[in-house]
Amino acid sequence: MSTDLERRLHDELHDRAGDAAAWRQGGATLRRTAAAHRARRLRTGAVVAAAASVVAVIAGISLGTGGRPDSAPASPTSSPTVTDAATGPRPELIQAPVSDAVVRKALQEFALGHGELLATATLPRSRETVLVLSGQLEGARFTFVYTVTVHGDRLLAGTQATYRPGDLIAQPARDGDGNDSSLVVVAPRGTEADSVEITTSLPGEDIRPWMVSLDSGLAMLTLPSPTSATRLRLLHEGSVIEDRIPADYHLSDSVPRPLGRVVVSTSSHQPVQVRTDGRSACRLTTRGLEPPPIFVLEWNPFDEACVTIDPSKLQLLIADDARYSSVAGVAPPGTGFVRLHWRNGEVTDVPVADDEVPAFVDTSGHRPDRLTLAQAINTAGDETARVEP
Amino acid sequence: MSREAPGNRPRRVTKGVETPGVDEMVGGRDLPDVVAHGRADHDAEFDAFVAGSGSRLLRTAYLLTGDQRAAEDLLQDALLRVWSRWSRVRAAEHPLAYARRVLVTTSVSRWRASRTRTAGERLVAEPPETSTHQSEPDRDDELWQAVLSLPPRQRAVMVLAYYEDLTDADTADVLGCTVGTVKSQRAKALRSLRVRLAEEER
Repeated sequence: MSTDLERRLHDELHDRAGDAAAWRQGGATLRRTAAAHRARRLRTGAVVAAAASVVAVIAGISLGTGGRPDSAPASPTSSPTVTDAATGPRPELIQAPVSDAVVRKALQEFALGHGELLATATLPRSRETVLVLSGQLEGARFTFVYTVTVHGDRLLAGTQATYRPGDLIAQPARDGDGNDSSLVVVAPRGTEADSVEITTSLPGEDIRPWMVSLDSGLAMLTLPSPTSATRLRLLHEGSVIEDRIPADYHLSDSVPRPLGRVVVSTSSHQPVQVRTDGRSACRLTTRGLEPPPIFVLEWNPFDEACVTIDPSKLQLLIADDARYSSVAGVAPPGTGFVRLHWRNGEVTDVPVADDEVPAFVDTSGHRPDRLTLAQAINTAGDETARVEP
Repeated sequence: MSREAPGNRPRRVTKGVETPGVDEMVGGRDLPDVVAHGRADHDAEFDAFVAGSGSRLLRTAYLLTGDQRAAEDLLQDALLRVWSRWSRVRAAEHPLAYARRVLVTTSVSRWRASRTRTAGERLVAEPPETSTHQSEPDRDDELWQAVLSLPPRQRAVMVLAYYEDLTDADTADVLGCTVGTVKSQRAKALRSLRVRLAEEER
């Protein structure tokens, strides 16, 4: 080491390195995390397929086919049909090159034989292409919209949501690895809006509004979590012309039904609930579709977790979105509280619901991927079950 | 300054590139280069590697990020990537060197991704208040802040050279660049640090 600066640097870096805490996450936990990631990727594919099946049934009955099953592939077209389902083409929304074959493949995947390509764009994080597809049921109140992330000619992942015709579309699309997504915003036809303000909020983090310019009616924002967009405001020269909650729509119905009974619900803006039918339990991030909430649906396919209840075990409900969601679970009967141990050494005691399904949701703001151990503690203070995530 | 490997250090050659010697192996011991292990051995070796090297890698991650939580996130991502290639890593690579390479490249690529993210966006929330952190005596806060202000690639070069004590050749291997690039990046980083420290003293 030839200079004083280099010696200082050497000493300082060795000194600062000592500030780092010890690594507490074991290889087994990492292997399970990796397995969960793999399962999520597979399940996302399954969700896409399931959504396709649902829409296939609906489309076969309703999309102007006179009840003919819509299992036949869509008629090949010489070029992608670019339309807003309600009112005609919007070529300005095609902002990334995509082949006819890929569009046909995506439409077939979603059984949208009568659906259309609404928009294409390059995702900001992965640089992959997202297709926005829409399909409207004849005479129906809702329009189905899909985002499909593609890499070359491969369809990677999709999300589904339902809107009223002419609605502002704001929907997460997978953008990179499993936890990464971007919000795709398609402004309503003819809007004079020039920008969109998207508010994101996450447990334990600041509420942040982000301003994104609309480019010919389309905008994208990289999200810290698919659930994190909590408010959207369309603006024209700084004035708000539309203000809404993105959860005004709902995503795919991939959770076992019925799960009508809510055991636990947080009181946050987007409540986190554990719901059960007695045999299974699911953690959901929810939002009423419209006031008064006649029903509650999850709106994020990455933010749910379900288990078949086993009363002898402490079961965790950890969503795929393990960085930005929260820990929930179901404890054995007789549990007084669940003690959660975090990677940084902190411990959180979470009360369980006074219910035949003793469920809990942690609201301390800790991230699920930092959980190292959970213990069910009975009213006598004894551990009755434990689980490592 | 040219940084060369100490002559008495045992070294192995992987894919034509020298990697650090056995004194840097997991927990002070080498992992067996046995391919035909059962699944349990395969998993156990990874567990042993994480147990033996996790804290050491976390210290490197901390120097790369300057933040404990960010360092934990970075290391978790890196270890997941190491695990996804563990069969090849344990058979053909020095696990610690490989993990360090993944750690550094993940750190740099994250920065690139965050730079992409901010393009075209404007954060309109108020910035957080300035920290009231009190400096500890005998710590070179100016130098530390100056290191943190370096671009990630230059910071990585500093950490690999002055904390990991890697040679220029090993640093180039970790970063996937030439030795010449390492030397120029290190020179630029040192120059930036000198300028910054001189400004602080004024």
